[in-house]
Amino acid sequence: MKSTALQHIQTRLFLHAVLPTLDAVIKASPKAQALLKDNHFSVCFKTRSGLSASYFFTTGGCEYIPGGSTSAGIELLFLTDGQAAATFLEQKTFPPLPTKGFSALGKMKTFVALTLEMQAWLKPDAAKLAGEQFRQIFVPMTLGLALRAVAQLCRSERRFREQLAAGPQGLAAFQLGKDGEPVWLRLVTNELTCGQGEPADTPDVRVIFHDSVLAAEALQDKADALTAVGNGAIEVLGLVPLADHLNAMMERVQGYIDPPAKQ
Amino acid sequence: MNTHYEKSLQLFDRASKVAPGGIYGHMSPAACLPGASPYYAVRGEGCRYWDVDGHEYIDFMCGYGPVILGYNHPEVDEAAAKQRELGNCFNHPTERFVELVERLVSLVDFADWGVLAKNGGDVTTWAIQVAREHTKRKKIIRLKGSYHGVDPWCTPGHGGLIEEDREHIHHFAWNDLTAFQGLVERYRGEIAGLIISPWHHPVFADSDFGAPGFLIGLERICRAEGIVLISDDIRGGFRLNIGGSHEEFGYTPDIVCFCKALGNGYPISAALGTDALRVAASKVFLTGSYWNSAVPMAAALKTLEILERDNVIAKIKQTGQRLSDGLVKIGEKHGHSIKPSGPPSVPFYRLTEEKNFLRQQQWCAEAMQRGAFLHPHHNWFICAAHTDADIDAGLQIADDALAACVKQWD
Repeated sequence: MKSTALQHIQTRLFLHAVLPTLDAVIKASPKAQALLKDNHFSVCFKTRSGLSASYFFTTGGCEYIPGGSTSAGIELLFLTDGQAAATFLEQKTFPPLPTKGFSALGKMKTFVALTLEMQAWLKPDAAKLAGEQFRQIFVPMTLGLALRAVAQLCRSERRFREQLAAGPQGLAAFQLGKDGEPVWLRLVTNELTCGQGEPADTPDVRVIFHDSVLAAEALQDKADALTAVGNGAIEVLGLVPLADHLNAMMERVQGYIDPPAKQ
Repeated sequence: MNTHYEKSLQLFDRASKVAPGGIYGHMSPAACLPGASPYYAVRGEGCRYWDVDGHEYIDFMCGYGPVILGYNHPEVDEAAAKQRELGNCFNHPTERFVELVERLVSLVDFADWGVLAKNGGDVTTWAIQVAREHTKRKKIIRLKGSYHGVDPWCTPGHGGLIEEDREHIHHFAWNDLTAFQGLVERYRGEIAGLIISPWHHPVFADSDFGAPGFLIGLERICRAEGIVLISDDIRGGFRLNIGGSHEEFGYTPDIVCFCKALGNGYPISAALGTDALRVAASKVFLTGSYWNSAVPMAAALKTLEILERDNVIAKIKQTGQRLSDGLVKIGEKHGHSIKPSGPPSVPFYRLTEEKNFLRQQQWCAEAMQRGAFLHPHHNWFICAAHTDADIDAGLQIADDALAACVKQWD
């Protein structure tokens, strides 16, 4: 893939899949909530290639609005997708141009602190992962990110679109525990939507992780999922190939937002 | 998990400590009914087998196809035992090799030569290499949702693949002759082979026969464009027609691949082809440590003899039809439509009221618990050992199982 195409996709993923995770992070993290105490703000990221997303931060969470919002307090423009991708991947680059909210730019320090807190949640150390309470938040948070990313990739990347067209389609729901709140993705050509909570329609496949340790391992690609299905730790009900198909796509997401270092 | 399968689950627990996935491939519990189906078998006889928990099943999967005469068929086992006394694995092939290839070539109308291997994937992968060698072209066309084995060009799995593995593999949908024509026009002069099944038998979906003109249309285009037509008859071979399922559906391939029913459970597969491909076939290296083992060849020779002698193909068609008619009636009785698809001897059944297979999974789980192995997602297989009484007993179980489900659903 040409690097410009890759950078476009990476930027899209960060804007529409990774950064929306801040909502769950703020809801779960007292540290994030403290950062936002009496410090509400909003920011809109735009690229010259036409990508944009806005985020409105309060102590209650982060409202993500796809596309630019005129009511965002700060507006930052990336001149190239490469610049945006490098910024989000924390690589060396020059900063985006502020086009609105010069006086509020100091709030971006809070934004950076929030993204660091998000990283701590998404890439936890072993000690954090050992906590049941942490895993109960980590699993749906990570699943939500992965599903949003798959939907974005199916919209924007040729190979994903081909994969989507070639495989089973339908509504897939994932949840931690029998009564856990599902995250879901409707994987149907021209209708790629995802969300949290019980979907309006009956899912074509429902994947239930009965064990949070295993679920966390599975999301980090550290679990033998076949064994887990066989011994009942993961229950897959319904259209199994849809879950398998989706899993294959989710595994590819990592390569975009956390690319392996070149030797 | 279901305590009905306690020993299966215990064994699985042991297995998963030493084998990735515990059980892999198409027999993985993940592909059937995890926790609600047997995981390990102990013994079989005729159309029945017993699991490690001591449960007996009327089997409608027949080892996923290889068992066409019944488990432990005495004549096949005797032929195998006789050869085993002489020896199985030597520095050379035995006369059984020559006899079996001669026999197969005599059965398949277009075939001038044959080769033997162990599994279906051995010969489908080899066949596409022969097509490439013969045409000096790169591209292979296959059907969406088809299964041809686990080599990188065709595996349904997604681990360990690189994009280049499938750079020259292209798909089109079953019965979409226009799409195939489009691929041919797009890649004119680059397509080495087209690999098809005689009928479409995906998992988690109805089986489908070729629409009028589809298969013969594919053949016609292949002939005009110099594309090698490969018939993957692994699943249906010797269940529909002793000369290959292509005869049943009215087309003539350049290579046909067989496995499953050929050895009634003994490991053997075969590819047969036309004289035009003989030189290319001689150039594509094929072998394996056990590919010349004589015992499975002796078993295959006997299996073929019995298939013809006992008119097995007609019998299993009739038996399959009895099952199909019975299941449709059971569905009607309970107010739930059961749709048969595919040939009666290799049928697929589905509750038509849903597309997510949840009720189908419940129904099959209930049937398994009552002693009939009904697969919820994969086509079934009928064997010569299924008697009318076995079919009726299986139908009774399917009826009881559906009745139990309906109680929960309504």
